[in-house]
Amino acid sequence: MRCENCGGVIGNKITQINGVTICEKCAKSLGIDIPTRMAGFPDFNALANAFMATGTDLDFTTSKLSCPRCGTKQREFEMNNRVGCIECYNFFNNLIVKTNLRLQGSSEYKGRKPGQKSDILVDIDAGDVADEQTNTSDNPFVQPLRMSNESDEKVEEKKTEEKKSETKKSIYEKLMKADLGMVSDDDLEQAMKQAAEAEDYTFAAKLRDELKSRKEGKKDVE
Amino acid sequence: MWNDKIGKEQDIVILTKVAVSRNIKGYPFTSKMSATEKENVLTTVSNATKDMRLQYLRIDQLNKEALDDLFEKSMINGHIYADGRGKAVVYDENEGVSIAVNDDDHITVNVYSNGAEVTSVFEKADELASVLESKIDMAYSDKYGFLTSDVRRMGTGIQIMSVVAIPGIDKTAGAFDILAKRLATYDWQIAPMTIMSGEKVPGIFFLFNIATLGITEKALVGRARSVIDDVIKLERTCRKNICRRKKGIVDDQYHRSYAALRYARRIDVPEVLNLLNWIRLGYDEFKDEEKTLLNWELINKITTQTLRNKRTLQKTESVSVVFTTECANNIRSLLKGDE
Repeated sequence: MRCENCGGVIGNKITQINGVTICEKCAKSLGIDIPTRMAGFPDFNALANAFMATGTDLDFTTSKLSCPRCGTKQREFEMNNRVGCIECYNFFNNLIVKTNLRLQGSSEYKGRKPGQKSDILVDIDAGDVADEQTNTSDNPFVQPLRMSNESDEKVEEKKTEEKKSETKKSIYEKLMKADLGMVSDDDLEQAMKQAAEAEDYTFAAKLRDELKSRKEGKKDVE
Repeated sequence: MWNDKIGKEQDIVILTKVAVSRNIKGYPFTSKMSATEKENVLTTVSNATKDMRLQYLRIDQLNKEALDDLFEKSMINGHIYADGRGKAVVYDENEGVSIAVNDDDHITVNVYSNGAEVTSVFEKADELASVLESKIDMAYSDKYGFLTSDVRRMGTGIQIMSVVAIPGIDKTAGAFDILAKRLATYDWQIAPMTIMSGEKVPGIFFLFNIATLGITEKALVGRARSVIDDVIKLERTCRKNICRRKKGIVDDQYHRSYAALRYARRIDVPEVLNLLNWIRLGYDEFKDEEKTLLNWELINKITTQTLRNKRTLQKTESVSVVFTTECANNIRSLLKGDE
């Protein structure tokens, strides 16, 4: 196909005006915008410009709130998490606390006071462990890191001691409800004795069977 | 200069920085400050730092050469370099101490060191901050700690940052995600280094803490050390694996990269850093010590000088020949030594 204006070969883009077919070059020189857009859709660039133009006016109802002292708007704060003065900390308090809860999992200050020096020496004594433990109870979101193996062991020891005392009291009662597959051999044995003492023979038999099957299972493996 | 000292674990950790942000009570934060208020803050800080054996410089009174010099020594950051109005720096380049005045916050104490030196760097920064706190009344609340212009830093106001070169992790599929997840458990983050034009710097990453609330300084430093240890361990494993599995490629690339750095006449910042990545990957396995001057100090020196090249401040990707030639000349002279 050739252009009806200049007679040149027409490339990919065909422009038709009032039934006359012309090439891209002629269309440009005639000042006709090449209709590359799809029918029924407005030009994308025009649309994008429309967005840009109203961008600064886009607003939420709360965005107009601003700090009474320095004039920092809520929107400014939402954009870059920055505030303008100390009063902002009171004015946007809720937002600030929320932001930090989301980002850091905490909104509570645990550092030193002004003018003091931080004590960062990592000492491997019991005080350290106690410190970490109080931390955990204070704030369930922050898992404290233990600095030394020794403190680990101490905590473990405490736990096992607690466990032991528990076993003595109620292992039999616990096992009544528990899924037997999840209980250790020693506990089973202990519970079996307790059940026998309590003259609950059916449950003791159940425990015995479980133990027996476990032992046989072990033998099979061996 | 501070970065002439030999740091720990410098095959991976390029530098460690601790920044402590503080604001003076009674003034709005710097973004909302008037010129007179800025002057008042400058006077307050200069008086408070008089007996600290640090040098005080007003940025807007410096000429371009002095400014370039400060930037190359890391004593000022890119923002201060670009706009120094109403700002000052109180510094000691040998100790790696630089206190920026009227930057993002009224006072930002920065302490730098080569390698993985978290504890000593933290102690130095903390001491300086506490001396300043005793002399100047800072914005502080018992509930929220030190108040900063960026609410994400409120609390301790401390940011510990390490720049690490981890080409091994970067080139191992999945390793980066593992590391990022691991760091998240410590409330730390890893981010690629970018230069002003938005280009990523290959293989070099920042590690920094997110939490400034709900954590004591002691725990923060402890975590910093754990984080750096984890990164070092993972990176060493990755490097070894790559060197073992792709021996031929790494050997070839290592020597090619050396040759390019040693003899190139024009070279741009991202390319230098990419070549350095190959050198880092292969150095332990394929180094030939007698023939080259290469060692970890030199590799890091080239890296830090390249990262502090003024080209990194340029906002466009196109680079003038002057820059690339200068960059190549500098690296050539470093690798050539005295011969």
